[in-house]
Amino acid sequence: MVSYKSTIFETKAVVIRHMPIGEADRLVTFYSEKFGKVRAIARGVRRYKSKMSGHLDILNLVSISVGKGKGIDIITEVDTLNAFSTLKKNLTNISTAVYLSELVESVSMEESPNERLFNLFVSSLSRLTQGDEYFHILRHFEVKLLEYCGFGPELNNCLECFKVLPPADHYFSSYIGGLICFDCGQSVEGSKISIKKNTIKLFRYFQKHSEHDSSALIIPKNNANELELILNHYIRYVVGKEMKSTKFLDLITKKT
Amino acid sequence: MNTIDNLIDQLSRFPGIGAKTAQRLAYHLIRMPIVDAKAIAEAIIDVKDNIDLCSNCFNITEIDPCIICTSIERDTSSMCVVEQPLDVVAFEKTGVYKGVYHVLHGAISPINGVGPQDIKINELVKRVEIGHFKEIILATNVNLEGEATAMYIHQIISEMNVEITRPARGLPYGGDLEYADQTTLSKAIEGRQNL
Repeated sequence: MVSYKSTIFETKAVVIRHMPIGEADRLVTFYSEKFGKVRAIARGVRRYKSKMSGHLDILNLVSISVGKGKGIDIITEVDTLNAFSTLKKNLTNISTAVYLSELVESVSMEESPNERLFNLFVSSLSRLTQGDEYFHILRHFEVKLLEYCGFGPELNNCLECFKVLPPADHYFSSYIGGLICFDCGQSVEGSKISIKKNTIKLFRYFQKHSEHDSSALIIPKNNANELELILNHYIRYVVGKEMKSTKFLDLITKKT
Repeated sequence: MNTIDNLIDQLSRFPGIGAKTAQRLAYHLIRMPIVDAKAIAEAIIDVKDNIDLCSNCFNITEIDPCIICTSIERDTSSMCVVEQPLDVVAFEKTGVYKGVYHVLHGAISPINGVGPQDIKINELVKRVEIGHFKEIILATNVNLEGEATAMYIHQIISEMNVEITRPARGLPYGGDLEYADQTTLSKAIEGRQNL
Protein backbone atom coordinates (compact mmCIF):
# COMPACT_ATOMS: atom_id res chain seq x y z
CA MET A 1 0.00 0.00 0.00
CA VAL A 2 1.19 3.49 -0.79
CA SER A 3 2.06 5.32 2.39
CA TYR A 4 -0.20 8.19 3.29
CA LYS A 5 2.91 10.05 4.31
CA SER A 6 4.44 10.05 0.82
CA THR A 7 4.91 13.52 -0.67
CA ILE A 8 2.24 13.11 -3.33
CA PHE A 9 -0.40 10.44 -3.32
CA GLU A 10 -2.97 9.53 -5.91
CA THR A 11 -6.25 7.72 -5.41
CA LYS A 12 -9.82 7.32 -6.58
CA ALA A 13 -12.23 9.22 -4.36
CA VAL A 14 -15.78 10.52 -4.00
CA VAL A 15 -16.13 14.19 -3.06
CA ILE A 16 -18.26 14.48 0.07
CA ARG A 17 -18.14 18.05 1.33
CA HIS A 18 -16.76 21.54 0.62
CA MET A 19 -16.08 24.48 2.84
CA PRO A 20 -15.05 27.90 1.51
CA ILE A 21 -11.73 28.98 2.95
CA GLY A 22 -9.57 32.04 2.28
CA GLU A 23 -10.03 34.22 -0.81
CA ALA A 24 -11.01 31.60 -3.39
CA ASP A 25 -10.05 28.23 -1.89
CA ARG A 26 -12.09 25.32 -0.64
CA LEU A 27 -11.45 22.75 2.04
CA VAL A 28 -12.60 19.53 0.40
CA THR A 29 -13.49 16.33 2.24
CA PHE A 30 -13.45 13.18 0.13
CA TYR A 31 -13.68 9.47 0.75
CA SER A 32 -10.88 7.68 -1.02
CA GLU A 33 -10.21 4.11 -2.01
CA LYS A 34 -6.66 3.96 -0.64
CA PHE A 35 -6.70 6.30 2.35
CA GLY A 36 -10.29 6.51 3.61
CA LYS A 37 -11.47 9.97 4.58
CA VAL A 38 -9.13 12.77 3.51
CA ARG A 39 -9.38 16.54 3.87
CA ALA A 40 -7.32 18.76 1.59
CA ILE A 41 -7.30 22.30 0.27
CA ALA A 42 -8.20 23.04 -3.36
CA ARG A 43 -6.54 26.34 -4.26
CA GLY A 44 -8.50 28.94 -6.27
CA VAL A 45 -11.44 26.66 -7.09
CA ARG A 46 -14.08 29.26 -6.32
CA ARG A 47 -12.92 31.26 -9.33
CA TYR A 48 -14.76 30.57 -12.58
CA LYS A 49 -11.59 29.96 -14.53
CA SER A 50 -10.31 27.34 -12.10
CA LYS A 51 -9.37 24.15 -13.91
CA MET A 52 -10.34 22.02 -10.93
CA SER A 53 -13.67 23.45 -9.76
CA GLY A 54 -15.98 21.45 -12.06
CA HIS A 55 -14.20 18.23 -11.19
CA LEU A 56 -14.60 18.79 -7.47
CA ASP A 57 -18.40 18.98 -7.38
CA ILE A 58 -19.94 17.06 -4.48
CA LEU A 59 -20.66 13.37 -5.27
CA ASN A 60 -18.20 13.25 -8.18
CA LEU A 61 -16.07 10.12 -8.46
CA VAL A 62 -12.63 11.48 -9.24
CA SER A 63 -9.03 10.51 -9.66
CA ILE A 64 -7.21 12.86 -7.32
CA SER A 65 -3.58 13.74 -6.55
CA VAL A 66 -2.80 15.29 -3.20
CA GLY A 67 0.49 16.79 -2.06
CA LYS A 68 1.58 17.13 1.54
CA GLY A 69 1.33 20.76 2.60
CA LYS A 70 2.87 22.40 5.67
CA GLY A 71 -0.24 21.90 7.74
CA ILE A 72 -3.02 20.52 5.62
CA ASP A 73 -2.68 18.62 2.33
CA ILE A 74 -3.16 20.36 -1.01
CA ILE A 75 -4.99 18.99 -4.06
CA THR A 76 -2.63 19.19 -7.03
CA GLU A 77 -4.63 17.46 -9.73
CA VAL A 78 -8.15 16.11 -10.18
CA ASP A 79 -10.00 14.43 -12.99
CA THR A 80 -13.65 13.30 -13.11
CA LEU A 81 -14.18 9.56 -13.56
CA ASN A 82 -17.95 9.69 -13.10
CA ALA A 83 -20.00 12.82 -12.38
CA PHE A 84 -23.20 10.77 -11.81
CA SER A 85 -24.99 13.40 -13.92
CA THR A 86 -28.27 11.46 -14.13
CA LEU A 87 -28.37 11.14 -10.35
CA LYS A 88 -27.94 14.90 -9.99
CA LYS A 89 -31.03 15.64 -12.08
CA ASN A 90 -33.39 14.19 -9.47
CA LEU A 91 -33.96 15.70 -6.03
CA THR A 92 -34.83 12.36 -4.35
CA ASN A 93 -31.61 10.85 -5.67
CA ILE A 94 -29.57 13.86 -4.59
CA SER A 95 -30.98 13.81 -1.05
CA THR A 96 -30.43 10.02 -0.84
CA ALA A 97 -26.85 10.30 -2.10
CA VAL A 98 -26.06 13.15 0.30
CA TYR A 99 -27.36 11.02 3.19
CA LEU A 100 -25.11 8.13 2.08
CA SER A 101 -22.11 10.44 1.96
CA GLU A 102 -22.86 11.86 5.40
CA LEU A 103 -23.04 8.30 6.75
CA VAL A 104 -19.69 7.42 5.15
CA GLU A 105 -18.13 10.58 6.55
CA SER A 106 -19.54 9.95 10.04
CA VAL A 107 -18.37 6.35 10.40
CA SER A 108 -14.90 6.80 8.94
CA MET A 109 -11.74 8.30 10.31
CA GLU A 110 -8.87 9.93 8.45
CA GLU A 111 -6.07 7.62 7.30
CA SER A 112 -8.12 4.46 7.82
CA PRO A 113 -9.03 3.00 4.45
CA ASN A 114 -11.94 0.62 3.98
CA GLU A 115 -12.01 -0.57 0.38
CA ARG A 116 -15.25 -2.53 0.80
CA LEU A 117 -16.99 0.60 2.09
CA PHE A 118 -15.58 2.66 -0.80
CA ASN A 119 -16.85 0.12 -3.35
CA LEU A 120 -20.25 -0.03 -1.64
CA PHE A 121 -20.45 3.78 -1.74
CA VAL A 122 -19.60 3.98 -5.45
CA SER A 123 -21.92 1.10 -6.43
CA SER A 124 -24.81 2.67 -4.46
CA LEU A 125 -24.30 5.97 -6.31
CA SER A 126 -24.31 4.03 -9.59
CA ARG A 127 -27.56 2.29 -8.60
CA LEU A 128 -29.15 5.67 -7.92
CA THR A 129 -27.99 6.79 -11.37
CA GLN A 130 -29.63 3.71 -12.90
CA GLY A 131 -32.92 4.63 -11.25
CA ASP A 132 -33.17 1.76 -8.73
CA GLU A 133 -35.68 2.17 -5.89
CA TYR A 134 -34.10 4.57 -3.36
CA PHE A 135 -35.54 2.69 -0.34
CA HIS A 136 -33.74 -0.56 -1.32
CA ILE A 137 -30.50 1.30 -1.95
CA LEU A 138 -30.70 3.08 1.40
CA ARG A 139 -31.43 -0.01 3.51
CA HIS A 140 -28.90 -2.18 1.69
CA PHE A 141 -26.28 0.53 2.11
CA GLU A 142 -27.00 1.02 5.83
CA VAL A 143 -26.91 -2.72 6.61
CA LYS A 144 -23.68 -3.31 4.66
CA LEU A 145 -22.01 -0.14 6.00
CA LEU A 146 -22.64 -1.32 9.57
CA GLU A 147 -21.16 -4.72 8.72
CA TYR A 148 -18.06 -3.30 6.98
CA CYS A 149 -17.38 -1.00 9.94
CA GLY A 150 -17.65 -3.81 12.48
CA PHE A 151 -21.10 -2.91 13.80
CA GLY A 152 -23.13 -5.56 11.93
CA PRO A 153 -26.04 -6.47 14.23
CA GLU A 154 -26.64 -10.04 15.41
CA LEU A 155 -29.88 -11.26 13.83
CA ASN A 156 -29.80 -15.04 14.30
CA ASN A 157 -29.26 -15.64 18.01
CA CYS A 158 -30.68 -13.90 21.05
CA LEU A 159 -27.95 -11.73 22.58
CA GLU A 160 -29.22 -12.48 26.11
CA CYS A 161 -29.77 -16.27 26.17
CA PHE A 162 -27.78 -17.02 22.93
CA LYS A 163 -30.46 -19.41 21.69
CA VAL A 164 -31.29 -19.54 18.00
CA LEU A 165 -34.23 -17.22 17.44
CA PRO A 166 -37.47 -18.94 16.39
CA PRO A 167 -39.45 -17.27 13.56
CA ALA A 168 -41.54 -14.87 15.65
CA ASP A 169 -41.73 -11.22 16.75
CA HIS A 170 -38.75 -10.19 18.91
CA TYR A 171 -36.93 -7.09 20.16
CA PHE A 172 -34.02 -5.08 18.75
CA SER A 173 -31.59 -3.38 21.09
CA SER A 174 -29.18 -0.78 19.72
CA TYR A 175 -27.24 -0.85 22.99
CA ILE A 176 -26.60 -4.62 22.80
CA GLY A 177 -26.23 -4.54 19.00
CA GLY A 178 -28.84 -6.98 17.78
CA LEU A 179 -31.91 -9.05 18.53
CA ILE A 180 -33.23 -10.23 21.89
CA CYS A 181 -35.82 -12.99 21.93
CA PHE A 182 -39.34 -12.12 23.00
CA ASP A 183 -38.97 -13.88 26.41
CA CYS A 184 -35.62 -12.24 27.32
CA GLY A 185 -36.97 -8.93 26.08
CA GLN A 186 -39.54 -8.94 28.89
CA SER A 187 -36.85 -8.89 31.55
CA VAL A 188 -34.12 -6.82 29.84
CA GLU A 189 -33.84 -3.26 31.12
CA GLY A 190 -33.17 -0.31 28.85
CA SER A 191 -34.32 0.81 25.44
CA LYS A 192 -35.47 -1.85 23.00
CA ILE A 193 -37.76 -1.73 19.98
CA SER A 194 -40.20 -4.50 19.12
CA ILE A 195 -39.63 -5.97 15.67
CA LYS A 196 -42.07 -8.04 13.61
CA LYS A 197 -41.19 -11.49 12.27
CA ASN A 198 -41.32 -10.32 8.65
CA THR A 199 -39.17 -7.26 9.36
CA ILE A 200 -36.51 -9.59 10.83
CA LYS A 201 -36.65 -11.65 7.63
CA LEU A 202 -36.25 -8.48 5.58
CA PHE A 203 -33.34 -7.31 7.76
CA ARG A 204 -31.58 -10.70 7.29
CA TYR A 205 -32.23 -10.57 3.56
CA PHE A 206 -30.42 -7.23 3.24
CA GLN A 207 -27.61 -8.57 5.41
CA LYS A 208 -27.07 -11.77 3.41
CA HIS A 209 -27.77 -10.75 -0.15
CA SER A 210 -26.01 -8.56 -2.65
CA GLU A 211 -27.41 -5.29 -3.92
CA HIS A 212 -28.56 -6.93 -7.16
CA ASP A 213 -30.71 -9.51 -5.34
CA SER A 214 -32.34 -6.95 -3.06
CA SER A 215 -33.32 -4.55 -5.85
CA ALA A 216 -36.20 -6.82 -6.94
CA LEU A 217 -37.75 -7.13 -3.48
CA ILE A 218 -41.35 -6.09 -2.97
CA ILE A 219 -41.59 -4.79 0.58
CA PRO A 220 -44.84 -4.22 2.53
CA LYS A 221 -45.03 -0.65 3.85
CA ASN A 222 -45.30 -1.54 7.56
CA ASN A 223 -42.14 -3.70 7.41
CA ALA A 224 -40.34 -1.04 5.41
CA ASN A 225 -41.22 1.63 7.98
CA GLU A 226 -40.23 -0.61 10.91
CA LEU A 227 -36.86 -1.50 9.38
CA GLU A 228 -36.18 2.17 8.60
CA LEU A 229 -36.99 3.16 12.19
CA ILE A 230 -34.76 0.45 13.70
CA LEU A 231 -31.82 1.15 11.38
CA ASN A 232 -32.07 4.91 12.03
CA HIS A 233 -32.07 4.25 15.76
CA TYR A 234 -29.11 1.87 15.59
CA ILE A 235 -27.08 4.16 13.32
CA ARG A 236 -27.74 7.11 15.64
CA TYR A 237 -26.46 4.98 18.51
CA VAL A 238 -23.35 3.79 16.62
CA VAL A 239 -22.42 7.20 15.19
CA GLY A 240 -23.40 9.07 18.34
CA LYS A 241 -25.27 11.86 16.56
CA GLU A 242 -28.29 12.62 14.43
CA MET A 243 -27.66 12.63 10.66
CA LYS A 244 -28.21 16.20 9.46
CA SER A 245 -29.31 15.19 5.98
CA THR A 246 -32.19 12.93 7.17
CA LYS A 247 -34.49 15.93 7.60
CA PHE A 248 -34.20 16.98 3.96
CA LEU A 249 -34.41 13.36 2.76
CA ASP A 250 -37.68 12.92 4.70
CA LEU A 251 -39.04 16.19 3.29
CA ILE A 252 -38.30 15.20 -0.30
CA THR A 253 -39.33 11.54 -0.12
CA LYS A 254 -42.64 12.35 1.53
CA LYS A 255 -43.34 14.85 -1.20
CA THR A 256 -42.51 12.66 -4.19
CA MET B 1 -7.51 38.60 28.54
CA ASN B 2 -5.47 41.73 27.73
CA THR B 3 -6.43 44.29 25.06
CA ILE B 4 -4.16 42.98 22.29
CA ASP B 5 -5.25 39.37 22.82
CA ASN B 6 -8.86 40.49 22.73
CA LEU B 7 -8.30 42.33 19.43
CA ILE B 8 -6.56 39.28 17.90
CA ASP B 9 -9.40 37.10 19.13
CA GLN B 10 -12.04 39.38 17.59
CA LEU B 11 -10.19 39.72 14.25
CA SER B 12 -9.81 35.95 13.93
CA ARG B 13 -13.63 35.71 13.79
CA PHE B 14 -13.52 36.95 10.18
CA PRO B 15 -13.78 34.26 7.47
CA GLY B 16 -10.38 33.27 6.16
CA ILE B 17 -8.51 35.04 8.98
CA GLY B 18 -6.50 32.64 11.08
CA ALA B 19 -4.62 33.37 14.31
CA LYS B 20 -1.43 34.46 12.49
CA THR B 21 -3.18 36.86 10.10
CA ALA B 22 -5.25 38.24 13.00
CA GLN B 23 -2.01 38.87 14.89
CA ARG B 24 -0.49 40.72 11.90
CA LEU B 25 -3.64 42.83 11.49
CA ALA B 26 -3.71 43.63 15.20
CA TYR B 27 -0.08 44.84 15.22
CA HIS B 28 -0.76 46.84 12.05
CA LEU B 29 -3.69 48.53 13.82
CA ILE B 30 -1.46 49.31 16.81
CA ARG B 31 1.09 51.05 14.58
CA MET B 32 -1.65 52.94 12.68
CA PRO B 33 -2.42 56.63 13.49
CA ILE B 34 -5.36 56.85 15.91
CA VAL B 35 -7.44 58.76 13.30
CA ASP B 36 -7.22 55.91 10.79
CA ALA B 37 -7.99 53.26 13.42
CA LYS B 38 -11.04 55.23 14.57
CA ALA B 39 -12.22 55.58 10.95
CA ILE B 40 -12.16 51.78 10.59
CA ALA B 41 -14.04 51.31 13.86
CA GLU B 42 -16.65 53.90 12.88
CA ALA B 43 -17.10 52.37 9.42
CA ILE B 44 -17.88 49.01 11.06
CA ILE B 45 -20.39 50.58 13.46
CA ASP B 46 -21.96 52.61 10.60
CA VAL B 47 -22.49 49.49 8.54
CA LYS B 48 -24.14 47.68 11.43
CA ASP B 49 -26.33 50.68 12.25
CA ASN B 50 -27.40 51.62 8.74
CA ILE B 51 -27.38 48.48 6.62
CA ASP B 52 -30.34 46.17 6.74
CA LEU B 53 -32.06 43.66 4.51
CA CYS B 54 -34.61 44.89 1.98
CA SER B 55 -37.99 43.62 3.17
CA ASN B 56 -38.89 42.76 -0.41
CA CYS B 57 -35.87 41.14 -2.08
CA PHE B 58 -33.64 40.58 1.00
CA ASN B 59 -30.63 42.22 -0.60
CA ILE B 60 -28.53 44.36 1.74
CA THR B 61 -29.60 48.00 1.62
CA GLU B 62 -29.46 51.35 3.40
CA ILE B 63 -33.08 52.20 2.57
CA ASP B 64 -36.00 49.82 2.71
CA PRO B 65 -37.26 48.82 0.11
CA CYS B 66 -33.95 48.92 -1.76
CA ILE B 67 -33.23 51.11 -4.80
CA ILE B 68 -33.56 48.17 -7.20
CA CYS B 69 -37.03 47.21 -5.90
CA THR B 70 -38.27 50.84 -6.06
CA SER B 71 -36.67 51.82 -9.39
CA ILE B 72 -39.18 52.55 -12.17
CA GLU B 73 -36.56 51.59 -14.74
CA ARG B 74 -36.46 47.96 -13.65
CA ASP B 75 -38.54 45.25 -15.29
CA THR B 76 -40.75 44.03 -12.45
CA SER B 77 -42.02 41.06 -14.46
CA SER B 78 -38.64 39.33 -14.23
CA MET B 79 -37.06 38.06 -11.01
CA CYS B 80 -33.54 36.71 -10.68
CA VAL B 81 -33.07 34.41 -7.68
CA VAL B 82 -29.52 34.38 -6.30
CA GLU B 83 -27.81 32.83 -3.28
CA GLN B 84 -25.92 35.83 -1.89
CA PRO B 85 -25.95 39.67 -2.03
CA LEU B 86 -22.56 39.51 -3.78
CA ASP B 87 -24.23 37.66 -6.66
CA VAL B 88 -26.47 40.74 -7.17
CA VAL B 89 -23.31 42.87 -7.37
CA ALA B 90 -21.89 40.50 -10.01
CA PHE B 91 -25.08 40.66 -12.13
CA GLU B 92 -25.32 44.44 -11.78
CA LYS B 93 -21.74 44.83 -13.03
CA THR B 94 -22.73 43.23 -16.34
CA GLY B 95 -25.44 45.87 -16.88
CA VAL B 96 -27.35 43.32 -18.98
CA TYR B 97 -30.05 42.25 -16.54
CA LYS B 98 -32.79 44.83 -15.92
CA GLY B 99 -35.22 42.86 -13.75
CA VAL B 100 -35.46 42.59 -9.96
CA TYR B 101 -33.80 40.14 -7.58
CA HIS B 102 -34.51 37.80 -4.70
CA VAL B 103 -31.61 36.90 -2.39
CA LEU B 104 -31.94 33.51 -0.69
CA HIS B 105 -29.01 33.99 1.73
CA GLY B 106 -27.70 30.50 1.17
CA ALA B 107 -28.42 27.28 -0.63
CA ILE B 108 -29.98 24.03 0.51
CA SER B 109 -27.15 21.98 1.97
CA PRO B 110 -28.51 18.82 3.62
CA ILE B 111 -25.07 17.62 4.80
CA ASN B 112 -24.66 20.89 6.73
CA GLY B 113 -28.24 20.73 8.04
CA VAL B 114 -29.39 23.69 5.91
CA GLY B 115 -32.91 23.01 4.66
CA PRO B 116 -35.44 25.09 2.68
CA GLN B 117 -36.79 26.63 5.90
CA ASP B 118 -33.35 28.07 6.73
CA ILE B 119 -33.12 30.26 3.62
CA LYS B 120 -35.55 32.76 2.05
CA ILE B 121 -37.55 30.23 0.00
CA ASN B 122 -40.92 30.76 1.72
CA GLU B 123 -40.53 34.50 1.15
CA LEU B 124 -39.75 33.83 -2.52
CA VAL B 125 -42.86 31.68 -2.95
CA LYS B 126 -45.01 34.41 -1.37
CA ARG B 127 -43.54 37.00 -3.77
CA VAL B 128 -44.24 34.81 -6.78
CA GLU B 129 -47.79 34.13 -5.55
CA ILE B 130 -48.74 37.77 -5.11
CA GLY B 131 -46.53 39.34 -7.79
CA HIS B 132 -47.07 39.56 -11.52
CA PHE B 133 -43.90 37.86 -12.61
CA LYS B 134 -43.61 36.42 -16.08
CA GLU B 135 -40.16 34.92 -15.60
CA ILE B 136 -38.19 33.59 -12.64
CA ILE B 137 -34.48 33.07 -13.32
CA LEU B 138 -33.00 30.57 -10.88
CA ALA B 139 -29.41 31.83 -10.78
CA THR B 140 -28.16 29.72 -7.88
CA ASN B 141 -24.58 28.49 -8.04
CA VAL B 142 -23.69 25.80 -10.55
CA ASN B 143 -22.82 23.06 -8.10
CA LEU B 144 -24.74 20.27 -6.37
CA GLU B 145 -26.17 22.50 -3.65
CA GLY B 146 -27.13 25.26 -6.08
CA GLU B 147 -28.76 22.73 -8.41
CA ALA B 148 -30.67 21.10 -5.55
CA THR B 149 -31.93 24.51 -4.44
CA ALA B 150 -33.05 25.37 -7.99
CA MET B 151 -34.78 21.99 -8.36
CA TYR B 152 -36.58 22.39 -5.03
CA ILE B 153 -37.81 25.90 -5.91
CA HIS B 154 -38.86 24.67 -9.35
CA GLN B 155 -40.91 21.88 -7.73
CA ILE B 156 -42.80 24.41 -5.60
CA ILE B 157 -43.43 27.20 -8.11
CA SER B 158 -43.82 25.11 -11.27
CA GLU B 159 -47.61 25.28 -11.09
CA MET B 160 -47.80 29.04 -10.61
CA ASN B 161 -48.12 29.99 -14.28
CA VAL B 162 -44.69 31.60 -14.55
CA GLU B 163 -41.79 30.80 -16.84
CA ILE B 164 -38.86 29.32 -14.88
CA THR B 165 -35.40 29.54 -16.41
CA ARG B 166 -31.82 28.82 -15.40
CA PRO B 167 -28.79 30.77 -16.74
CA ALA B 168 -26.91 28.99 -19.55
CA ARG B 169 -24.10 26.71 -18.49
CA GLY B 170 -20.97 25.97 -20.39
CA LEU B 171 -17.39 26.96 -20.97
CA PRO B 172 -16.04 30.03 -19.19
CA TYR B 173 -14.63 32.85 -21.33
CA GLY B 174 -10.86 32.43 -21.58
CA GLY B 175 -10.94 28.84 -20.35
CA ASP B 176 -9.04 25.96 -21.99
CA LEU B 177 -11.29 23.26 -23.42
CA GLU B 178 -8.94 20.43 -22.46
CA TYR B 179 -9.37 21.21 -18.76
CA ALA B 180 -13.19 21.30 -18.83
CA ASP B 181 -14.89 18.66 -16.71
CA GLN B 182 -17.50 16.19 -18.07
CA THR B 183 -20.52 18.06 -16.69
CA THR B 184 -19.47 21.50 -18.00
CA LEU B 185 -18.54 20.13 -21.41
CA SER B 186 -21.77 18.14 -21.78
CA LYS B 187 -23.84 21.19 -20.75
CA ALA B 188 -21.89 23.31 -23.26
CA ILE B 189 -22.66 20.84 -26.06
CA GLU B 190 -26.32 20.55 -25.04
CA GLY B 191 -26.71 24.34 -25.03
CA ARG B 192 -24.78 25.03 -28.27
CA GLN B 193 -26.06 27.85 -30.48
CA ASN B 194 -26.01 28.71 -34.19
CA LEU B 195 -23.35 31.22 -35.17
